[in-house]
Amino acid sequence: MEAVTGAAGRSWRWVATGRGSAEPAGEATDAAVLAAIAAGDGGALSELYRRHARALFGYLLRVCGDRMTAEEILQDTLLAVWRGADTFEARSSVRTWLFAVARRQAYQRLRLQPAPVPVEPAEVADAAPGPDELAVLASGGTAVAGAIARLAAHHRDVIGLAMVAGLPLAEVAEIIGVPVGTVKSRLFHGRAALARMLAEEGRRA
Amino acid sequence: MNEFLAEYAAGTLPPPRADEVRRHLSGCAECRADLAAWRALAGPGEPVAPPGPRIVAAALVRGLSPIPATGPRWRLPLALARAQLRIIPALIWVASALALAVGVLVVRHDPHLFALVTPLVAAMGIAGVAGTEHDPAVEITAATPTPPRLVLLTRVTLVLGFDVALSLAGSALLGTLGAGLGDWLGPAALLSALSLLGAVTVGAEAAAVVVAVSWTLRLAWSDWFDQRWAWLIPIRALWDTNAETLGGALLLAALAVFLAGHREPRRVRRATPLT
Repeated sequence: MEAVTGAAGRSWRWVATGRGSAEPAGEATDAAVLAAIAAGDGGALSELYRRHARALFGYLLRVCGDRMTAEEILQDTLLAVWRGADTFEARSSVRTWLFAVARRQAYQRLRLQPAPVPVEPAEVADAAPGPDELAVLASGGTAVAGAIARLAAHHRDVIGLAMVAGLPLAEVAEIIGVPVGTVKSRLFHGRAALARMLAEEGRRA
Repeated sequence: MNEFLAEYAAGTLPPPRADEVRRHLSGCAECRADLAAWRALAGPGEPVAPPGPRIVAAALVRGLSPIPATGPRWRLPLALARAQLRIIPALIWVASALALAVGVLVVRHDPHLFALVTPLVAAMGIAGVAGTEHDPAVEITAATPTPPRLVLLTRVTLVLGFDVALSLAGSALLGTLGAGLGDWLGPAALLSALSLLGAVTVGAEAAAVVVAVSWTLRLAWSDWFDQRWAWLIPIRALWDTNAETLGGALLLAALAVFLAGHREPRRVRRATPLT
């Protein structure tokens, strides 16, 4: 993989990938695409978006709950990538960086909205959900979607990154800036809270 | 096995571990139920399709527009001055110019009387722009990150600059530029500062009244007052052009600017959140 030096900064399209990269043969690495973005190539931004759109949008949708806001934050994210591509220092993977940018944009926008979430609610007392509660959760459906929207922000955050965007837990930990163990416990507690919420709704109905 | 199910459901468990989990799942109903619950977390049904490539185009269009915050710092005051020029009522410029022109005509036989007109024009102009009652954009301005003190300073500088320039021109016309300046500079500064403080604290109209009353007292002042109340003589000296007068004017103006950022723009309690 060579740095982008071609005419008009477009050489990422033809740069062969190095060994062991995730991209199919013949496609440039994410880093090359990002370098082209830094050089001012708008087509490269489209390419980076094409590669990560589904995961990014799924994550943002999970974090903010409605499609309109998620699209706005997605656009903010693309703009931030366009303007900040030259600040990428390859200390993490491009994907990690990209999700960290998206997460920052989401929090910047959502902070303007009310309902501050306690930093770490008293999760110690949480009992693990019973099989009945989990069964309600496993049945899925719109009730689950509605309940997820009511989860605490830091739960939706890890669920969005790990379960929807499908990032490895180590990468989720790097994006959020917490140990992997914390990511795991937030996943478990998030799921427990969700199962409890659904079971309670079932009892009331 | 339990602890790997979340990653397995997300599809991020590395292959050797994933195979292990798969084998275990085929024989463990409890873990299969657990897995289903994890899968439900990923969201119901089909994943939602992300927006098309047009969103990239939209972001790029926004990227083309200049970032407002990163321009050179000196551009902000200039832009602010231009914006304020648009919303300062034209009446202020017209009235100031007219009053000074009439002043020049009236006092042309005794140029020293020009010093009676200039301070009044400057102070009334200040009252007109420093009070927020007649600022059509005050609510929008309060909602921007631009400090209210900076806005006030900009407006005051514009009007004072205009009035001082016209007064200098008037003095030059009357042929008293050197001596005449000393006649009106101190009183104009003090009266303007009084007006500014009044406009910021009690409002434009009240400031205009304060200005009118102070200036009338100053004009009506005669030796008769001095003979009756000798202790007033030092106060009278304040209305000359000297270091004390200019220093006092600066102090009053500084107090007014401090208060401008410290009070509600509308002078209604808790009308705006102040930081």
